[in-house]
Amino acid sequence: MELTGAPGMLSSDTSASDNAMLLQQARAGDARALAEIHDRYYPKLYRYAFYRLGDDAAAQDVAGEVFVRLLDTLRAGRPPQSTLSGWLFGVAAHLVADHFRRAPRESLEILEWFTSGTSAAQEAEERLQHQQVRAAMRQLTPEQQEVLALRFGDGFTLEQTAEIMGKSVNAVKALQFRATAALRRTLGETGND
Amino acid sequence: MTDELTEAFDDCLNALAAGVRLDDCLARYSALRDELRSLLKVAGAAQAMGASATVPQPAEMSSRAKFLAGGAQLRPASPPRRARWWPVPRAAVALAVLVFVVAGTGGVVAASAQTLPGDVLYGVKRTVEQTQLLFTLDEDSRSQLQGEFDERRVEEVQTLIIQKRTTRVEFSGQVESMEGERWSVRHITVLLSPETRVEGEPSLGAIVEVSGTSQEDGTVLASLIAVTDEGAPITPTRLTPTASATAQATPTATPIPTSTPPPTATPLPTETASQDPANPLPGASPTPTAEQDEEVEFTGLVESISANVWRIGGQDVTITPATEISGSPQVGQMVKVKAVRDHSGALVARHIEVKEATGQPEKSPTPQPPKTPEPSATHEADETHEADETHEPSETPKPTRTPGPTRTPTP
Repeated sequence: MELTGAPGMLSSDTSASDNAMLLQQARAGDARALAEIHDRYYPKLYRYAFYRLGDDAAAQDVAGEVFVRLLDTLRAGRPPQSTLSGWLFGVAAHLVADHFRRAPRESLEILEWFTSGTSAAQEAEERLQHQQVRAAMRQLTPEQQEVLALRFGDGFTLEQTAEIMGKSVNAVKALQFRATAALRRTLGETGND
Repeated sequence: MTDELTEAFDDCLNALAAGVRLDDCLARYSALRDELRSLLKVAGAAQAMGASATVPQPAEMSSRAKFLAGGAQLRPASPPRRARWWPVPRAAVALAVLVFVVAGTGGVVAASAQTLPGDVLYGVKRTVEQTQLLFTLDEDSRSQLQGEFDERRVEEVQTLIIQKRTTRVEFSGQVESMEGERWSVRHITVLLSPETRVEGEPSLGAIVEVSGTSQEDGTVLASLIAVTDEGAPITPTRLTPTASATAQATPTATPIPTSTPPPTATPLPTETASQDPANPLPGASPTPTAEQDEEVEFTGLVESISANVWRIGGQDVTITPATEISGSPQVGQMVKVKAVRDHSGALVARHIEVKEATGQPEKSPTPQPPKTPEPSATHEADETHEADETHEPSETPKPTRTPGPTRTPTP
């Protein structure tokens, strides 16, 4: 369950008890605890939002707003009742959904344009491929998008993803499979190379 | 079949992350080989999409500063320390009430609101603040009010520094750097002298109260520095751009003896050849683009301002008469810097431009994005497409229930 030593990463050893302790200290305004929470989760939340939105400014807004919301709940004396990571990413997911609701949806035509073999400059090809994948991803269900963002965008393990999503490990395992298969269908991939 | 494929897919993800070759992994599942290869290719494309994300350090640090400043308001107010700075005799409170009642609408109190230390009406401003605190009975509200007043003190000092005024000041904040007799507290350069009295044991990250005199060179000469809170540690790694992103994206050559290594550790098969997870994602964007005698361009927070040298984004930048300054940069603001690095390695600014209004914590709650409900206890049905378009009313009050472990049956 340990990750490869990346700073700020979650681990099951710390995410449950340590986060509960951090949250308790944060409620009292403990600066160390607040800083630890921010340092631990901001990069992950930013990457999650960037993965979902593909927009730097919007991802910054989402990551920052999550912490504003956390302060609001702490001030109101209503701290997260579930796991801290689940709460933070849950808020981020809703903010992302809110962004999608306000922003014009990328049209299917864009995807079709990408998949129609339109040539692009070599240096832009990678970017276009990302856009293509992101456009295809938006055709998936929110849960499928979320599991891909957490597993492939943020690099969370199955266990961590399960904790964040409030699901069992087996459920996440199945969900990541269905999400990948659905993404493949949307991208028009086949089983043959 | 699906269950078998689900397990095989996860097993291959883990194996690839642990450094196993794709063909070796596929060899374990010869009957599912083509199907697995196709799925893993898609997973690789999905993973590569995330590899391009670089956490912007200025945004992270700005968010951190706001979060910590807001969090400070969660702490119980400490009346003794306020009393030390501005003892308010009962007679003064009575006078303030009188002033508030009699002259408040006449503009005296309003006029004092914009005053700075050293101004005639500044005492009225502070006394009114103390009175407000006195009459705020709710502890949370009082704490929040105290936080706002603390922010005012910092802004006052920053304004005095810009105006190059010499007067007695006081403020509190986190110790951000300690270089001999030159410290940085809330992006304000604080100088210590033999006469400076230090209470407690200040360390990096500690919250201190500073009393002293603002100097024309943009520093504050401290007469007293008192630790009020050990505070949050500031480690050098926090100042290193995207350490976590770099570490996370670095592939692990040695297989990890765990069943669930992170999927980002090893590249998955993808047609995007250039998306190498080993790419050491660069730090704050944009970063300096030259070493010597070349133009350097970067964006960063103004940490301190003195006559000739400003500290921006952790770098000392020399200001010369030839430096063009667009806008009125202030400590805490984000600026874009164009500079050249001279032979001694010093950065000499050619142009400094204000990028945003302020990097300081805001006094009012951030208005955007619009309120959304907090996470609900259940997630949308897996096969319900576009459920995000229907499940989250944007204006409904926040439910207190947050997502707890919801067991979803495995298909």
